[in-house]
Amino acid sequence: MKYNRIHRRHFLQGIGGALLTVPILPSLLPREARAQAMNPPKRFIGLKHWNAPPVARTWPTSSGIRGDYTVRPYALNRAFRDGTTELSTPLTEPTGNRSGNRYFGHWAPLSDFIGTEATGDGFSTMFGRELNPFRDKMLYLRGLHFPASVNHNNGGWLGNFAASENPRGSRANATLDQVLANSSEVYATAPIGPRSISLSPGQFASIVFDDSGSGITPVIDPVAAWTSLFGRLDGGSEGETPADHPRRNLVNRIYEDFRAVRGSAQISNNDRQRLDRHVGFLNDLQVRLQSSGSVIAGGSCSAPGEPPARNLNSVEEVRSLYNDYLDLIAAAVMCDVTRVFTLNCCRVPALVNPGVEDVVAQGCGSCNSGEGNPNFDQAGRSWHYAAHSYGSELSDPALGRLGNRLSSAYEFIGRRVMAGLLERLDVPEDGESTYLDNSVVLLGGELGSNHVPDSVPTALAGSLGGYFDTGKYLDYMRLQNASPFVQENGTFVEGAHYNRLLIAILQGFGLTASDYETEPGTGLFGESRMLGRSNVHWGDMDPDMANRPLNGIVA
Amino acid sequence: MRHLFIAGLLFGCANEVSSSLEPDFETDSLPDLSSSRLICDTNALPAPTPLKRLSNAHYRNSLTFLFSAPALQAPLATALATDFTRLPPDRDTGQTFASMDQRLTEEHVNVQFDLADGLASGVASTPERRVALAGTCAEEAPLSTECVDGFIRGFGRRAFRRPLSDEEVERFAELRGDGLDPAEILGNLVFSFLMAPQFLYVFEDAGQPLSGRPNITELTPWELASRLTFTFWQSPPDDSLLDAVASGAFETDEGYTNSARQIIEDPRSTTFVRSFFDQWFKIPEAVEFPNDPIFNTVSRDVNVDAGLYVEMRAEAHTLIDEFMENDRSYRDLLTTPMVMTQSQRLAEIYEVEAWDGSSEPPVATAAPRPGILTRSAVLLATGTTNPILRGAFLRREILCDDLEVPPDLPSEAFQFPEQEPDQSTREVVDAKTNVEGCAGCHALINPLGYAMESFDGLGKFRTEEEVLDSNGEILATVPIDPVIRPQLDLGDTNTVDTVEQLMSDIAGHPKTASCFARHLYRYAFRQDEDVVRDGCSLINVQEAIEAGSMTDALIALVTDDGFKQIVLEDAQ
Repeated sequence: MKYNRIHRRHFLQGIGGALLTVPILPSLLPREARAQAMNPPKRFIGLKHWNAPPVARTWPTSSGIRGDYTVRPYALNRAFRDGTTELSTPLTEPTGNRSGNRYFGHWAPLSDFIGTEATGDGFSTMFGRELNPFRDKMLYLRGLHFPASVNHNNGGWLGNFAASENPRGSRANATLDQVLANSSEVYATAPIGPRSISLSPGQFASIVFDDSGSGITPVIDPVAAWTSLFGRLDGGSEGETPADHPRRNLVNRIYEDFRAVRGSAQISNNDRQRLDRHVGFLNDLQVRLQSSGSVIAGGSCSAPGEPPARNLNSVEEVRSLYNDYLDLIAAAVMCDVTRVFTLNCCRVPALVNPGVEDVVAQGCGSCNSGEGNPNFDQAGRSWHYAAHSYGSELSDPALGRLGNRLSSAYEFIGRRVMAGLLERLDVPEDGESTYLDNSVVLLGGELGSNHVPDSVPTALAGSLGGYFDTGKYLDYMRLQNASPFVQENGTFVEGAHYNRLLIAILQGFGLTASDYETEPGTGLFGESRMLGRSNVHWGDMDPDMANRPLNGIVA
Repeated sequence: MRHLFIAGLLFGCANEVSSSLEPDFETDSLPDLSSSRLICDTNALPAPTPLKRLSNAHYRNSLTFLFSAPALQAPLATALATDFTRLPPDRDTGQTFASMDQRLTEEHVNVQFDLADGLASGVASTPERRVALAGTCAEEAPLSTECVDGFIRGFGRRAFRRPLSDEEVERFAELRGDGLDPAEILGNLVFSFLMAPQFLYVFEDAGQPLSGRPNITELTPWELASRLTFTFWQSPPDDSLLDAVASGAFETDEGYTNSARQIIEDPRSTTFVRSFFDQWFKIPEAVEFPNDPIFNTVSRDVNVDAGLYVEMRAEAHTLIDEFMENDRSYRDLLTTPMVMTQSQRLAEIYEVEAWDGSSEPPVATAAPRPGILTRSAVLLATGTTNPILRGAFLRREILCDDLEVPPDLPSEAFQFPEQEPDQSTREVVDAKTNVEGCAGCHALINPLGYAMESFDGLGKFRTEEEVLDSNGEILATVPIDPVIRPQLDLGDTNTVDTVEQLMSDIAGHPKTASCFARHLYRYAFRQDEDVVRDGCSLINVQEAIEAGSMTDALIALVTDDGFKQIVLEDAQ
């Protein structure tokens, strides 16, 4: 029987509609995935937030804890306290070295933080009780800093600082997700879906970057995401041998065309790299067009039906949109269609009066600071503007309310998006582990509560197959020093270089320095040239440690 | 859709408020504007021009061109309405024009495949469509060798925008295969052409290197034709232009210039006007007027609905069209008081009679309306009356002054200052920014915006500003002070009294012509200009725009050696 493109394209939709699921034959899954039945693949899922919540809503507070903890110092004078918990157990390895003096981060079990009503009975207000079931599978990290002067940025959370507001001289390296997506450690063979997918709720800003430093255009709606992830899969039926796509072999001719133009003496090496990149995508596509030709009995996964289009100005629809995205990610993980995902959480519901006047808040860094967002604030002030209003409750109650409203947006990201994803993934994958256990979920951002990229709120979930030592809250800041500067709702205190977390993740996937290092022989990933400069405002994070995995988190 | 933000302010600076209204230049650092000055060094190697993929607009228009026959409209429409919509959009990547977005993602390739696959099946599916593709010879089965070769040469020339070599024809002819029916053969050929790099990218690699300058290659006539039509039509060369190139029309300078002029003067160049000026002036496609008490007060005398912005945009387009078609100068476009709107309500905002569409357009006399930059569609582009934003727009986009955003704005930068009922916006902004560390740049930015305070949030001319509270209540009325020291040249102490005088000064300033040239370069080359390496070409265009019409500037661009050559940084 000849391949019927329309039939195949719409098979899932036609059979299952939006609500039903359809089994996908294991024969359509990558051979490697089947071979790895006893050794589940590892996946990366990144969730990005923008700006940051206020300090006391971000980190565990000093109440609602088990054990003997003190309140963390804050501001220029250590006599001030910020209401969050100061940890007391030092890490065994030093975090940094300042003027010859080593300093250590501290840690505590996340289970010590049982929360209060104010924190939604969770270890932080941002996460609430919804994350409690996953505390033992999480790492919560405080004191991770981007390089100085990065300011608002799109790709810093995954190691590319070139698209920051102050990109001068920044390196234009690939973000972590792209390094993983193109690594043979992650994909021994091309996946059946895209190597990576970057999802966004209707906003076009790139949050991930390729190896030329170019931003990767996100998929902006669940329908397009469904098509990208599952649109090529044939539901088929057990016992049927699917056919290759009839034009699959024609792609070989296209390679010849690329080879011919690539050989021109009148194009540059950069042009050739660009063409090679195109061929790489073609190659993956061709693999996906190939049927395995045989059906292996046993095992299957379910892909969701094609989701409906969403109205991004509707609070309820935006909530549903995130559910759509989370369903798609979970299904793609379970079907092993794709192993690398990023989701931009820059458009989320915010609560004015819960259930009555909820609004859709949108904001990517400072991108809409000039335009404002009438949906978020009647005066047109934006998410970004709101993030600048932390701590203004006393001087201007209206600004305080604005800050509170923005905080509810972060609570949506933590309690609904993060928790919803973990819930979907924490189901058995094999006899011993869950999909979450074999994955790593990174919740990363661009700035800290101080509105500079200092102590960017960062959480991990999933141990990546036992690589991470989870269940811990770690604080890398050097608290014995007074803060030299305070802004908005946070201090500047030296801590650990954020990219060390990314190095840990990369190594957790089995990559070695030569696979990811920005400059050969350095072991560094991403920008690190600003380290060790004591004249920058937040201190001199130790450059000698910048090429090491973040201490205290690897099992 | 752009949301308008009429009342709010964004401040790029924050410090202790000073009572002085004169910036202290002795203690404040001034921005260095010299980096944006054009320099012609005839020994400099022009900036390299990397390989570009078709922009989404180019791609869409190329497909439309290839399948323009009536019998092929149905499968084309299906492809454009389904797969094409999944193509990642060319969007703002911090560059001026969307076509400069050269990102290539996996999804681009997936969509290209699906489009090629779907179109290949669709356009070859019926005898009628096959005839539309390949001629009457396609009615026969099996297809003759001549029929297939004829299709390959004809379709290939349109797809690759040049004739195929015999070797290429031979390779495509292999797809004739054995035992394949006409639909399969033609479908496979269409698929292969649509997936070929020669179609998806704009290759400019077939010319000869200049003697003694191996890194510079002269474009072939075919490549020049593509460069011209992709710039001015957003489309590939059509059949008549391809025929003209084949007949040698581009072989002489005179022939090339005449052909280029015809392309520029062709009605299809309207797409250039829309695309170039809309993106440069940041004219939004649509605007959502706010529904809040402040805006309702500002717009109380105007019937505001979604159609109002459509009329505003149409007025700007009509004016630009008029100046392009009639060889008027850019300088005049920046100062003309002529108003070409048939909208009664927009005419009332402009305080002119509505135009009847055929007779001499009215001229604004009751209220100043000097030039395109004072039209509502452009004024609304900043989304606010904020004089800092309006001033920065003029500085950066119209004068091309290289003002950088401060590296790390403090929190107070975004705080809305208290405005007393007796204070004008100018006074509030001045007090906020006229302080050490801020005054240097803001002394260049703010005054231009202060002059534009003569226009309210809808673009209506005003001599007084209404100070409103958050409920839209008018607390007071304060006079607009349009007297400014524009400093179009750093340190210039001249002042201007009116917005007409400001627009006249801007229009006549060399930086304005230079800035036009720079934007034109970006649009045509789909990359940022290098003010030194491309300086000679840019100065040629600058001089043309200063001396003649906008069309003269376009001709100067396309007849300059820089347009007719390609530079490789690292050619083998």
